Amino acid sequence: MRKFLSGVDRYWFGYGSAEAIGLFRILIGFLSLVSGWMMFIQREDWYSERGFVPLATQRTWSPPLARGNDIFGQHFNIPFSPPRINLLAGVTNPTAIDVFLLLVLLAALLTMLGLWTRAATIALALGTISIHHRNPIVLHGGDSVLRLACIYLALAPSGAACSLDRLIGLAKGRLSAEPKLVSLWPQRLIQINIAIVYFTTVWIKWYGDDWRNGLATWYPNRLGEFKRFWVPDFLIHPPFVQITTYGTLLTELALATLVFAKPYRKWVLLGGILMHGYIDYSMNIPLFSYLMCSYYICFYEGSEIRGWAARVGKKLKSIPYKPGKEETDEQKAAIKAADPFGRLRVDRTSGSNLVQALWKANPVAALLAPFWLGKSVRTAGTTASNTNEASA
Amino acid sequence: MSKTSEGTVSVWVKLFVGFHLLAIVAWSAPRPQDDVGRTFASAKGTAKLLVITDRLRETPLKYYLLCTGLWQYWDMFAPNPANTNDWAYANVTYSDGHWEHIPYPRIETLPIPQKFIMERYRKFFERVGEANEPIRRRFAERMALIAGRRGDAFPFIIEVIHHVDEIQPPPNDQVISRDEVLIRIKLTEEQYHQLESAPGA
Repeated sequence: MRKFLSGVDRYWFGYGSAEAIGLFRILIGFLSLVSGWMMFIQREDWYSERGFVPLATQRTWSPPLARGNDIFGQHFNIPFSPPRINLLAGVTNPTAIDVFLLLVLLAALLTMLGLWTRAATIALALGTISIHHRNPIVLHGGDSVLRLACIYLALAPSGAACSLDRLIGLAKGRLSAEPKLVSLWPQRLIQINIAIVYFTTVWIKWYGDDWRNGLATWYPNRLGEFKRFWVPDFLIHPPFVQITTYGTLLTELALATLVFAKPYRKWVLLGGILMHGYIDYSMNIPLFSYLMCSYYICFYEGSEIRGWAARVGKKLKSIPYKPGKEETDEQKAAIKAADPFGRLRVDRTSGSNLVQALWKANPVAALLAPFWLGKSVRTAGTTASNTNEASA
Repeated sequence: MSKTSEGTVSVWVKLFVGFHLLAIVAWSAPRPQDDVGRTFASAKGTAKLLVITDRLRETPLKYYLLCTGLWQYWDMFAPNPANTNDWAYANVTYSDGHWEHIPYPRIETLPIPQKFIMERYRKFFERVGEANEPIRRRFAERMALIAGRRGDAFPFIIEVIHHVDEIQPPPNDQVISRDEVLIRIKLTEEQYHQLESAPGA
């Protein structure tokens, strides 16, 4: 029993590398940016007093929380109704709403880049929760998945890997070149939460006759308001209706259970990607499938992702570059960290300059190189231009 | 929380994780069905578990979830998928007797990129169809604002029409369509002026 408990404790609260959570942060930051932009362009309809949901309508839909509670059959009232987190509560000024939505977009961008990550992820979580509480009437399942992801990112050490924060820390010598070890409980919460999503959706579906009878997918395929791309006729008629109905239930059940068993994990996640790929192709449910599949990253350990990147890197062509004369060990460590597949190779004779080489290895890091590598980039550039002048 | 070598996690974090798991499981579990006993003694099998999670939702646990944005319920296409295709439009009669048809975004007719961006309009109308009178009324008022003034005339009567295509069960590929009046409101000039003067873009 003690062994079992210690295994559980190790699973939940052990330490590991942060690449999985770092990649998850990049994906969720990007998807938040897309979602936030769509909210921004529809802001008059959804968040203004002239729109479909002015504050009075929002209050009708989600009134203050009940003060009454029941514990073991005992009823009691708390003295006040606790407020929902909503920084837009009571805000009617359109400029203030615009500024708020733009700040949330900025937080999403910074989250994606991993710059000032702790502050950015907290701002993104607060912003997303506020937007969702300001107008819950327009939310769909994907929005809830996104909101939860933002909250988990704010709790997790999201900037410890795959982030500009790490590159800056390495370049300035504030961080060790060794991958940072972080407590894995936020990643475990993400895994379990997504398993709960799949498990409870199967459970609720099982109460429906259409799912039990194998007819459920007959209907969504015929709803014009949901249709996206053309689907072959045979796929929306029996026996494929039964196959896709029961196939959905089985895949979702596996995504809640078998996904935790390492030998099946890859196949279960592949099944999930196929299922969501079909949903995204055939049905217009924006971002939902991308969000769900983004969570799959968290079923892998950071060390597994690093190992995979190294294996892929070996198959890719290496990129020679000519380092600057004054490149420090710290800057070398930062450059190495900015090269996810380990493709950069020092070549003092025929290599291109650092930014050009980085552009091939990691375009985002190359674009932002002056920001995280400052002096070294200038040195490398000078060296490169001096060499060009000399050869000219 | 982040270290260069393995450390230990505070007992408070462990307690928080346990509490959080209990809360999200309780909130996500299916609501007890009508045909299942609502007391622990009368419930059978997994329904006993649902009675427990239902009771937990009545405790202050709800504040943790509802205030922080951690609330969640995963009933996409469940327990049964929708079998109706719904969209809306408004018939607006102006104060001078002129009549206009005001469309509400209909996803089926939009080009693919627009479908992606405008999906919330479909979701919103789905909810409005199930909502109470004040929310439906606001829908009609917004349609009046979209219609706008016509010279001196203002939108006087706004009728929101809910179009329903009912999908028949297999193997019947037919669709039965109908139009229903979701709400019909009358505005005075003063009421319309108030709507116009609300802050907005």
